[in-house]
Amino acid sequence: MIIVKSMLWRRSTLLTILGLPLLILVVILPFVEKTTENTQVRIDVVDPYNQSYVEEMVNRLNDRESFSLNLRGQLNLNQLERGDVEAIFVVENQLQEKVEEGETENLLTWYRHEHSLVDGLFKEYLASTLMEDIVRSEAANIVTGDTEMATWDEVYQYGNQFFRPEPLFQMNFKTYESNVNEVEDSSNWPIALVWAYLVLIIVYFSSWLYEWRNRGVFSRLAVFSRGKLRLHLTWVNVVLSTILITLVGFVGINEWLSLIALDHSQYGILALVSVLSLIFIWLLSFIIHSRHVLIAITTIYTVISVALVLLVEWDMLTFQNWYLIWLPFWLVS
Amino acid sequence: MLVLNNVTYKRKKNELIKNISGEINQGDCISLFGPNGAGKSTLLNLMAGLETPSSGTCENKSQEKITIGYVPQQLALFEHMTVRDHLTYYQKMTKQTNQHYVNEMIDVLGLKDILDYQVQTLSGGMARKLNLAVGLIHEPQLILLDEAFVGVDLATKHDMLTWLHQLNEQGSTIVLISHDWHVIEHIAQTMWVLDDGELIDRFPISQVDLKQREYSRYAGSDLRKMFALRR
Ligand SMILES: Nc1ncnc2c1ncn2[C@@H]1O[C@H](COP(=O)(O)OP(=O)(O)O)[C@@H](O)[C@H]1O
Ligand SMILES: [Mg+2]
Repeated sequence: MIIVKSMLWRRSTLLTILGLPLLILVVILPFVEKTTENTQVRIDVVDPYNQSYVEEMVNRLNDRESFSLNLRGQLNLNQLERGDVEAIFVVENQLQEKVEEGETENLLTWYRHEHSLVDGLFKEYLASTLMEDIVRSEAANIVTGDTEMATWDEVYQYGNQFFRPEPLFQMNFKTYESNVNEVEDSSNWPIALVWAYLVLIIVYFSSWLYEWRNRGVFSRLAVFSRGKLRLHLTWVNVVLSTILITLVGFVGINEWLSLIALDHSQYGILALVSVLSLIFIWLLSFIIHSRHVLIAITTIYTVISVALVLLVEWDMLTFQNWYLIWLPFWLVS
Repeated sequence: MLVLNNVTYKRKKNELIKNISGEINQGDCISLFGPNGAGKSTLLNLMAGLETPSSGTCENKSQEKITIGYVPQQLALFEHMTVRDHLTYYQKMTKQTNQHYVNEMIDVLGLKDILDYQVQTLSGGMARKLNLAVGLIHEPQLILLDEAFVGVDLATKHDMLTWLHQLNEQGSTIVLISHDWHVIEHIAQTMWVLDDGELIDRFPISQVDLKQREYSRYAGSDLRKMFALRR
């Protein structure tokens, strides 16, 4: 405990461990905001019958900034699978006629993916737009006498139906579940940076091993039974705890802000790879007697592996099995 | 208690220690003497068991295992730890339960007033005291000191020598490396003179006058200069 205190006491320790992630967050956050700005909800409206009424409606709906509507002639479910669109609405033939007759059922078929999130909002909006037309034309029908309405009561009752707490507006509803295994979500390469950060922490802590060696602390301890080993184990414990705390912090932040798409097994692999890195660097410190050489070797390794991950990510290299000697590939593949 | 038998130590094909034999008995106080690079620290490490001889043996001839206290040349202390933390850490590590001994050491070495000081705030002399105290905390039978008196003022030197003298009187064995005639003449009983990895001379401290005259004829050698500095 005394040693732990002495290791963590140093101001630079706290700065490195706490300051860097903050710095990284500050750098990353604007990107995150940008991407969320860009993610308007993309929705396809499919009209196989080329109705001008539908075109007009899509134009009206497109005024909404949070949605990006596309009018298409053909249903293409692949787009849902790829996540290009959040939902697809297929309109029936003679939509305008049906609306003008006050029909509220089965005007549209709604296709959504199990991962679709905010398309429900659009559904409400679409429904309200259509309802507006439906109610208006109903009113017009009544006033112009197109509908054979006898009494004031009957008209009143008819109007009431639009305010009942039942679904105003019904549509066919289909959830699209992909049979294909989920397409590899390859946008998780930033996890390699998280690993690189953990390596940085380990390398930073390795300076104590060198300090203790150069100051003769290890020699002094060597005359006690298992003295040297004990100090080494203390060091490993401190670094391990720091790594695990950092990981827990990262998982928390990532789950909160969803910076990188990761599932639980990937968190596990990240922990495993970090612990492996710790063991490697620890063992290296026995072989390499200069701290600077150790820093150089680990930096080169880290930079090369992150660069390779990026090159593979950008399809400039194809993944080969031997790349697995670069630990970050365990994380992204 | 410790017997060196034709000890040779090589590193990267350099013979740092050449065929040294000798015996250290309980209660001895031996001063290793010689110019820089003579191999004194290396020999001390061999005695401490931190290194193993390339050939020859360095054996413990007594029945039970001897406890060793090793005080390295550097200030082998933890930064950002107080004097008290150091004593506590090493006391726990060595399972030293004789609190009376520890208290007495703190007393004689004058560590009492600086117990709550952090290591980096200690003056050179105070740090040397702590460096020594840490190495002696477990009442070692064999005390190995590598230039433990570098940069200490006379008062500090007095405290340290008093404590070492007391331990030696009580039966501890001491091997020390020092360039300081004060220290050597105050405490050593025997001098081992090393040069270039060889043990070239060995004599009781009572003969030091004689030896000084002898070495003054070694024209040009570092040993002559070192002996010349003795008054
Ligand atoms: N790690 C090492 N590798 C190679 N040579 C060393 C090493 N440490 C010391 N030496 C050499 O061993 C010789 C003896 O060193 P040392 O025992 O420290 O001498 P002293 O303590 O008497 O000054 C010196 O010539 C020194 O250069
Ligand atoms: Mg030396």
